Amino acid sequence: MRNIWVIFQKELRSYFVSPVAYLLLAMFAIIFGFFFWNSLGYFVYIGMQSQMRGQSMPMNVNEELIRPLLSNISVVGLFLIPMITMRLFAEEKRTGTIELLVTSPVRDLEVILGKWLAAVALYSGMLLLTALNFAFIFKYGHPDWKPLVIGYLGLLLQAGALLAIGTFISTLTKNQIIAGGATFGVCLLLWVLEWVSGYETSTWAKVLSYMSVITHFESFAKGLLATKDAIYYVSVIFLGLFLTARSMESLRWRS
Amino acid sequence: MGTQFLKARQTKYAAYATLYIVVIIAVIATANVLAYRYNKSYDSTSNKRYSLSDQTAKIVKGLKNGATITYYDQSTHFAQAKDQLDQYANLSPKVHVEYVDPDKKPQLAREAGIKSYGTAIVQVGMKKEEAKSLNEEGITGAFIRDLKNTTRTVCFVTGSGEHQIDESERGGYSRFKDLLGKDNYEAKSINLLQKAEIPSECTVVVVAGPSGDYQQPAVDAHASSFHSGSADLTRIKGNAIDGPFPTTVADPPFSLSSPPWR
Repeated sequence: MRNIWVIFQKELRSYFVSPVAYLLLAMFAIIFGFFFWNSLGYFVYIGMQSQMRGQSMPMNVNEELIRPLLSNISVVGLFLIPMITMRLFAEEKRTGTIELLVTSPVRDLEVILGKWLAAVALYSGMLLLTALNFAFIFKYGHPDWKPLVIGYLGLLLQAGALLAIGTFISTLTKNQIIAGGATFGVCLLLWVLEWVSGYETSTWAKVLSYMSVITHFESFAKGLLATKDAIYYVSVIFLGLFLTARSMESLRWRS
Repeated sequence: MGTQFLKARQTKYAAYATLYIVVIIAVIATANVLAYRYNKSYDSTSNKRYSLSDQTAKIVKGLKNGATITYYDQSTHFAQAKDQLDQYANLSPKVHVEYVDPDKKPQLAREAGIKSYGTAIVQVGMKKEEAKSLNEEGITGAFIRDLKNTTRTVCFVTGSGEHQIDESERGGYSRFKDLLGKDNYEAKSINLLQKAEIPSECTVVVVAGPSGDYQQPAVDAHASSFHSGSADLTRIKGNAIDGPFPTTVADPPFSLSSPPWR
């Protein structure tokens, strides 16, 4: 446990000694800020139109503002997650420090968990920035807080799954660009698999749709905590980290 | 020799790793299949927006046969229906929800007799019912109608110049018969001149604009049936009726204020 903590700190520090973390945080804040401003403006516009038409039906802040914004965050995450994971092991391979890691008295699992948790922590930091925007909604509106908490849990689980995949891909190459590009490709594929359910209803289409990360985020965005969705994300996290461990292990017997 | 040994060692490790990965993927797949089939969910919204009522849960969880809800709409509108329909699938592994875009799969839509977008068909066993609306009331109502085993028969009296359910011309009730069929009622004609008796399977007897008076045995048959409570009576008056409603059955004390299929 202590080793995980040490690696976690070292990895998190390495994000912040380079411009990577600052750049990612700034980009995320700006992009989400735009989404927030745009969605809030549209929400207010629809609300005013509704009042002018004499409709007394109250608008649901959670349904019409927070839910689409949570989906927007996950989309932005899709683009930034490869940038977080691409250096995790590729950099160690390029500089040769992977030899030290593999031969040091630290278990592979501890190395993997330490690095993955650092990546999750950086993503959590990005999510914290979005909480600032939502704080304004709570100041001037009365949204339901529980669905928002469930939504954030979904974002963390989804990001955890994609980060685990990115961590694994990072062990396969010493080139960060290749690691980042491949991670983006795989994540994007896992994203768009859901599209097939739009025109196909057979079993294979349902399986592909189930494998899509976006299918399982829908319920979290609504404020619904479903076991199948949580188990899916935990499974992908486990599989990603398991494959990373096998890839690390193969470094020994392939040499 | 050394290289061969290395290769053998590498081959052994590669085979071991591959097997390990395959086993883990199989375990993960099984866990997900079970999670999908036996899903449980917690609705955190304050008004339980994504939860179905206890009555619906009781009906759906008590299903003995598999059920399928098929939603027909343009694929861009599937998301609107998913919020509602997926709740039914979450209640029981026996309920499956399918989404069909009639523009992309016109054959399926044609076979199901779909005439408009946004139609949901609930099938339990071999019985199919169209949901009146896409809310819980409409969908659960379709489940209830599917689960009712008794066939409800609407008997149209003939023999005294009534409107005929098999006639499609002006004054004919063939369209009415179709509408009843859609609501799972079976429509049939009974001729009280041939046999002055209301069949026991008649849930409702319809006297649709007779142009002549009934014979006494026919009136007695009506009265007997109504007093015994075996069938309800409704009469149809309006523009479709040419002549006056016969006095013999014009004002039965047991007339319904509204037809039961409304």
